[in-house]
Amino acid sequence: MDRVSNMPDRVVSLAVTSLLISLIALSSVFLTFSQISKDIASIRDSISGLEKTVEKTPTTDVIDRLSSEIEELKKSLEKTPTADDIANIIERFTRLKEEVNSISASINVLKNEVGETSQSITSLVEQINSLNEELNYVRDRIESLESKFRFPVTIIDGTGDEIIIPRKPESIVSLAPSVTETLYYVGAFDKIVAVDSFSDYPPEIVELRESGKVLDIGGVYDTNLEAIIGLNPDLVVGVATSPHTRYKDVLQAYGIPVLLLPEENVNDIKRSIIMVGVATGNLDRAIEVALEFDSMISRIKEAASSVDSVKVAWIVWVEPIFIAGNKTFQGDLLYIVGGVNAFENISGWQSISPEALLEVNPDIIILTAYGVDPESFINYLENRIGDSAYNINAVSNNLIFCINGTYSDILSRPSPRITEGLKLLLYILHPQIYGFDYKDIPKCISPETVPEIPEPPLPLEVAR
Amino acid sequence: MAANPKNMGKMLILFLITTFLMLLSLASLSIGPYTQVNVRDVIDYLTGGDTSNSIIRNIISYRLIRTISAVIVGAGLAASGLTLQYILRNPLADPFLLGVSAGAALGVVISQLVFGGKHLPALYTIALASGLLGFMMVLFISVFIGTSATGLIIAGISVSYLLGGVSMILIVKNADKIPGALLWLFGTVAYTTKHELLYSSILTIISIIILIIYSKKINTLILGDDVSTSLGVDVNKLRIISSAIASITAASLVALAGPIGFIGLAGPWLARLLVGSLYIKALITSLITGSTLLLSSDITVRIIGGASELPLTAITALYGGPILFYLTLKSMRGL
Repeated sequence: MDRVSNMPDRVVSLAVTSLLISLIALSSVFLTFSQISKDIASIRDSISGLEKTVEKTPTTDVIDRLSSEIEELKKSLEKTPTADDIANIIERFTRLKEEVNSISASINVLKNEVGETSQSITSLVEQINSLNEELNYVRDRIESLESKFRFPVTIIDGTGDEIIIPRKPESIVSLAPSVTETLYYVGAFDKIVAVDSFSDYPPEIVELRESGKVLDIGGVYDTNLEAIIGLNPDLVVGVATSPHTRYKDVLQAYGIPVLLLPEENVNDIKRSIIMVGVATGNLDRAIEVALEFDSMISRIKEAASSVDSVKVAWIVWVEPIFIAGNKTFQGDLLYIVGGVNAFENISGWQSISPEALLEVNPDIIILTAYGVDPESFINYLENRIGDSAYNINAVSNNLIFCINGTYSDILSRPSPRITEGLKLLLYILHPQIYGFDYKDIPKCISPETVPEIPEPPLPLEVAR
Repeated sequence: MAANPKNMGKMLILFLITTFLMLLSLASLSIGPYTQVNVRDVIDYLTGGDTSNSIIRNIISYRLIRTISAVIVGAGLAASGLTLQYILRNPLADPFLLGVSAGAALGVVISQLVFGGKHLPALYTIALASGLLGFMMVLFISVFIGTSATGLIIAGISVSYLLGGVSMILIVKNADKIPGALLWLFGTVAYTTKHELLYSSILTIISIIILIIYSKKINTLILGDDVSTSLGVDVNKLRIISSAIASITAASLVALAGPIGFIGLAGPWLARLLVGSLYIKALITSLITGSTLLLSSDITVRIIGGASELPLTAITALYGGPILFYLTLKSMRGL
């Protein structure tokens, strides 16, 4: 009875349940479908991202190319390289490492979306792993290059001259602040016996020079060569594009090896690091520094490439306005941090009229002119070109920044410390990378206003 | 002649200043901002004896090049200045003031740009040619503003500024290619090398020998063209030869040490003060006074400069300036 009377109810409940189930099933099918289409879209994105990183060539081709490049790198490591060869090898290594990393990052994204099951992805992962192993092997080989150098060593220096250093230098003379810094980074600081009047980093050097423990040999244009001859140092290190070329002519007559470093651009800094490493017998440390240097530069480049570039005018002197144009050290720094030099078509450091600023209309103005702050610069512009100064984007948006003190020194010295300067520029030009806005940045940047320069994000964080 | 007591006195003066120059040279080899070298070591080194320490040897060798440079530059510039003074009959004539130095400097900059600093034959050829050119420009301009003492100086200063400006533009625009040029433009004997010293010394010594050969004829110039001609001197030929020699001497020394002012003025002035105006006597004495002045200036630079090398003109101007003022005043008053 009960059963019979309950029958319709049960039928109804069954129907309702099945309806519900089918509804749920249908919706879940629909949801799954939309999820799949989303997945497909994201996979497509990843693939297009991958294609972007590998310059729109099929992945296997790229891996073939990478592995043949790694083979070449291994070959060039077999013969005894020169200092410049090593710098070149480190550059190629860093680039390959970067490419492999970005491909493996893209593959990781793919793997997460599609799952481990895909055959082709598994094989890609294996190939990438073997590339990474090869690269690790190459790195070990690079790091063991020091064993190939025994004194006397021969170095082609920044002027193209062959310099022979007979024994591991126990006494070194530094002719310039940037050279002192490079010697310090490479671990030869304690061998410095004499230094120019302007070296101030690391800070100990100032005290050492003032107390006479390290001899003061004057400035760039008035170096006291007799003092150097009197010390009879094992090595003198200077800068190629400076009057040091003249000092070299004189000092070499007394059997004093003079190594002049190339310091034209950021890449030259790496060459210098290796040259100094070879010359001072600290190649291990130099290679470590150069590898770190290169990976920091590529990290900065990567971070800068994740945001839009900005047009920058770099003013190094006011009254008259002198700008850093193309083929200057500052121009090279701008390029690395994703700034377009507003005066790209001007070569070297040149004086310009305020009207020229109106014409190129920079988004940002960087001031490293001594004693000039943004306010006084705007006043100067107003006095010269009146209200039309506000037609300059950087002026109307109040994006004029001055860099003072130690930070200004860092940006003018081609030494390994330039990575700090690049980090600072990245922070000023692209605060959005760090989640800041331009208005959060102090107008005058010095160790007082920005005590700590923020680190650029790691490449993978940028990739996401 | 030797019996003449007046001449004896002059000989004595010459002997005294020569002795002084030699003592000064010895001092120059032993005095330095950091290391003082024993005079006995210096003499040992000069006589080829064994100096105990190789570093001391190197220091003396560096100071020797520096000292010889100062002596040659001082002697040559003074001889050049004196000769120009006779040719132009103008006590203010000086290679630095008459455009020779600025011309030679421009030549050095150009040859460094085109041939690099290490091609010495090219460097000297261009420096000599452009030094001569600078001098000719001054003479050309002075035709328009008058060849009086001050007219020449004004022409010289304007040409020097013009050529100096061109040099400066070339140096600044090519700072990466000729980084040593600015250093050299300050004028110093601290950075001379043996090879350049050899070139400049040979040119200077040959020039001085030629000037000595022509000394009798040059001496007549001061008496006026008519007198010279009546004495059988081809005045124009003599003027051209001797001014070319004077310019070449100065230009070759500019190539060595950069433009150094006032020695061409102060050296001859002092010499004529000591031995009178007979050209050959004044010439020989100028060589000694010029060397003495420049070498003592360089020793001063080493003592007061400390770690840094001062430009030599900073010191030569200290006494050269007042002498220039005095001579200008004198020539303006017709004294």
